[in-house]
Amino acid sequence: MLLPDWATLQTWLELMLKGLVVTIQLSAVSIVFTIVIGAIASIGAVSPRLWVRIVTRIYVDLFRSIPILALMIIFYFGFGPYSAELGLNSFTFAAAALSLSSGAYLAEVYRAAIQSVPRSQWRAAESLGLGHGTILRHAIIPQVIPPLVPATLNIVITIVKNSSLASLITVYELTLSATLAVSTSFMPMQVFLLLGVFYAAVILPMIFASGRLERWVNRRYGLVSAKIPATTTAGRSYSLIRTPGGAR
Amino acid sequence: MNVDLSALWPGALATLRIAGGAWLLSIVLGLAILWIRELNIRPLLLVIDGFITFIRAIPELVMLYLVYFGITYFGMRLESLTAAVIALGIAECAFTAEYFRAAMKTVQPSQRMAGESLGLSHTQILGRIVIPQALPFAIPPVLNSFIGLIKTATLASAVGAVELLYAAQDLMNRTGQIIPVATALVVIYVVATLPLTALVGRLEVRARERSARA
Repeated sequence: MLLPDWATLQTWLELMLKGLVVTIQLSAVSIVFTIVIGAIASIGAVSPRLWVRIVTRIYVDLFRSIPILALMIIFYFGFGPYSAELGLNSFTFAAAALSLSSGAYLAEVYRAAIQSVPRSQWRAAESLGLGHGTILRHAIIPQVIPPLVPATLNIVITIVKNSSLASLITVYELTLSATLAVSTSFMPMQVFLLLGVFYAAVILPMIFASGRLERWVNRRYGLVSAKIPATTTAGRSYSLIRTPGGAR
Repeated sequence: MNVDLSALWPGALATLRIAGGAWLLSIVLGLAILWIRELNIRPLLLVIDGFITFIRAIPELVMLYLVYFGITYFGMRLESLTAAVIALGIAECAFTAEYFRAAMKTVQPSQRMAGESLGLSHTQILGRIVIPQALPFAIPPVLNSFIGLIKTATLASAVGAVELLYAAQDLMNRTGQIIPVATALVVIYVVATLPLTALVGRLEVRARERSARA
């Protein structure tokens, strides 16, 4: 049998649309936390205080090394027994794992951008008597935000893709809804192709947008953006900036 | 209670096999894509670009499910480890192909023209002029993709391959000792990826310095 009949297809679509909503919720929560964590950790990485730099370095290196799925499983097994008391569930574990992992990755990208601003600008601002925080806020960060938009969009793409891992710790998102559809219909090929279409429908527009934004940034901010990971491939840099293995 | 962590070793080996296999496959496919692009036939270019974009839009886990469960549609069955190598290799090749393309772009087109003016063939230009110069730029990101694959190999546990994460999960289930097992797991991943990451960083700096001198 090549195609499912209409009734079967309808039940699949119903299941998967429900899953899609959860995938979008999970991604949205994780994206917000990832950006917050990435911003804080990148500022920590250029802090004048040594212990702050050390702490952020440890966080970034540790969480870039642990696979997201391993992190999810550790949270799930480690906190699972206490989840009722702590008011947590597998959705929170998945969101925490996605945010901590992608946040560490994004922090490296943001740090590279901050450090791509010539040192002379720091010295110029210092000679005006400005403090470290003021220089960052008024001189450095405003320059790097526009060129960082495509890089951030790429991490968003990675987060949506990696949110599918949450299905393995029983978060009822898009991928889990598809496995459920398989278990009732026994048509894995058809269901998983449809699943691929669902993900492509969400992610393809973002890939195109990120490509266009990148070209725009290169035209508009050529000098600054040259040193920022040019991440044309979704979520991962193939420029010559150290971005180990991408967020995964 | 003490946990016998040596139960993790076979899993670690399986992880290396998955990552290594998928890595080799991605390089072979990446080279194939590079070669097709070099042919410069327009309809073929469109097909390749579409293929790469589509692969990038699909989560690795979905790719794995398509390979492992989807293939039963053709009456075939794959071992979970083989399926993981194939799925991750295909998912990765979209990126590997881009790394190769980016590396090739670091060689000025004028060098190709210079080669042509000397009467060199297309193969000679690629083999003697372009590739030797592009290689230092291709190596770091391709090594990087191996680091990434060590981490993505965890996905194979979803189809029952006994790799490192699966072995750890199993150990947690049997002994109930979450913290020691989880710590060992984290230590193994850090030890496996951080030194390689540092190496990649140094190779990148060297490639950039060399190109700055040239």
